[in-house]
Amino acid sequence: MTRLLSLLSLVLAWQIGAHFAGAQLLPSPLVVAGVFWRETVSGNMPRQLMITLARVAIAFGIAMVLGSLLGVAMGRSRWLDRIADPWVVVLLNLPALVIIVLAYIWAGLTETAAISAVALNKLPNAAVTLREGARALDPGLDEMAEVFAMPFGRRVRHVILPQLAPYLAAATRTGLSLVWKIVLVVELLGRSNGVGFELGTAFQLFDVPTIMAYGLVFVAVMLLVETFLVQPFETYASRWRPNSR
Amino acid sequence: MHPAGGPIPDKPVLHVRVHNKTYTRAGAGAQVVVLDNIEFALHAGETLAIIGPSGCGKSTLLRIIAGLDKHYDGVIARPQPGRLSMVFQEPRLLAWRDVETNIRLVAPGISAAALADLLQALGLNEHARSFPGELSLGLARRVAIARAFAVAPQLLLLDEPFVSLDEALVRKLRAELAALVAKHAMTTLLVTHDLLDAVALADQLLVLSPRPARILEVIRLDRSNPMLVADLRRKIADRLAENVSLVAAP
Repeated sequence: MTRLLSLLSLVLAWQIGAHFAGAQLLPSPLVVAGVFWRETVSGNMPRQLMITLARVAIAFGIAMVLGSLLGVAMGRSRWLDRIADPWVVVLLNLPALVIIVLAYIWAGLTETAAISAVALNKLPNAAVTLREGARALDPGLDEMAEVFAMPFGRRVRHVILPQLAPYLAAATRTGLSLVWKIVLVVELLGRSNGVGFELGTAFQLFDVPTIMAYGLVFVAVMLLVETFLVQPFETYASRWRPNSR
Repeated sequence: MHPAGGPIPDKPVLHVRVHNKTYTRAGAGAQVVVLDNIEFALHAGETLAIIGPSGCGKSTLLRIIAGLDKHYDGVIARPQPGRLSMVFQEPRLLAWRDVETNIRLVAPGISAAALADLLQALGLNEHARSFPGELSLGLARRVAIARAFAVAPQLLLLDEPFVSLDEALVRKLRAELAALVAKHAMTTLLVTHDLLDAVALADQLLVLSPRPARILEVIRLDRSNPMLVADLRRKIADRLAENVSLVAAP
């Protein structure tokens, strides 16, 4: 209820702001809703949204799988950690824009370059989070699994992954919001479709209502993903904790 | 059990021959000898308790036998992987799996009847669906014991299985564990600092000296003519005192 009231007050403030700033700079909620409706009925917004979502999903998947594997390996092997740590630190601190521009220069304005650039931006983030998770693995449980000769697959599924679940959830949450934003930049700079491309076109035309309509839809989709995918996963992963049941 | 040099009648379940085990003390770089020339064998159905002063290397020896410590000079012949089980000092249960799943994960082949029997014997039938975080330490220990028996091992290793429980609970759990060991005629190796555990669970005692641990004495416990625990305690104390004076002599 409080959240709904808070949201309503935001719309009200927007309406008041639009009144003073003028339709050119800040269109009213009703105008933006009109653009949203027009773009949805024409099918353009759902199409661009799906293209962007697909890029987010692929880049996020690649970054999470490779980053998690690298992070766990680094957390388990001090030798590998010493070798890979400088690489991770360099990637973590390299501005996203530099990676994107270099990827486009080296691999051309292609889908592969776009996805790789996004994945490369997220990968070190996942690696660092999962490295902490691997360092926190309980050696006592490792020994238990060793003594009872648990097969590798069962060990990963029942002993290791549940311990890593909170770290995976944290990497997922920060990762999604990061990948989201970077995908838009990648589309703005080098793709001819997707939400980022639409925003770029609208920017050139000074079309503020379209920018706001796409921006808000984007936020809404993110909230849906958070509510229906990330949060249920976290609840499932922590269902065994006494205070969560 | 057959101490070093003795004839070995049939193939033992466990044959331990550790010439020595050393580690390098952090910082100083000095080599510390923990175990020195320890050899014994354990045959099917035998139960042996290793006792010795605290810090002498009992748990190190058990870790070597369990295959968890591979840095030693010697040879261990132990059951195949999966035919050995262990109860650790801490229960080491998977907090995110319920009691039954904790057991089934190490013993996927256990029948429903055998599992029900085990849970019954350890008073766990009402807790099969509980998560470890909902159990007291005493109950969690019982689950760890049930898990160790569930794999029907050829060799059961027990590392101070009753440490940090209150005395009344220890007495009860000790009796239950002794009954289970007897019922399954389980070949058992127990490490403990508590002579009462040793007497309740083992038919032989292996007394280790202070570090570096060597075998001081092997005492066979005759159940038909039980030695008083107080006498046993005195005998072991005397043997340890002799050893300390030997070590201290110039």
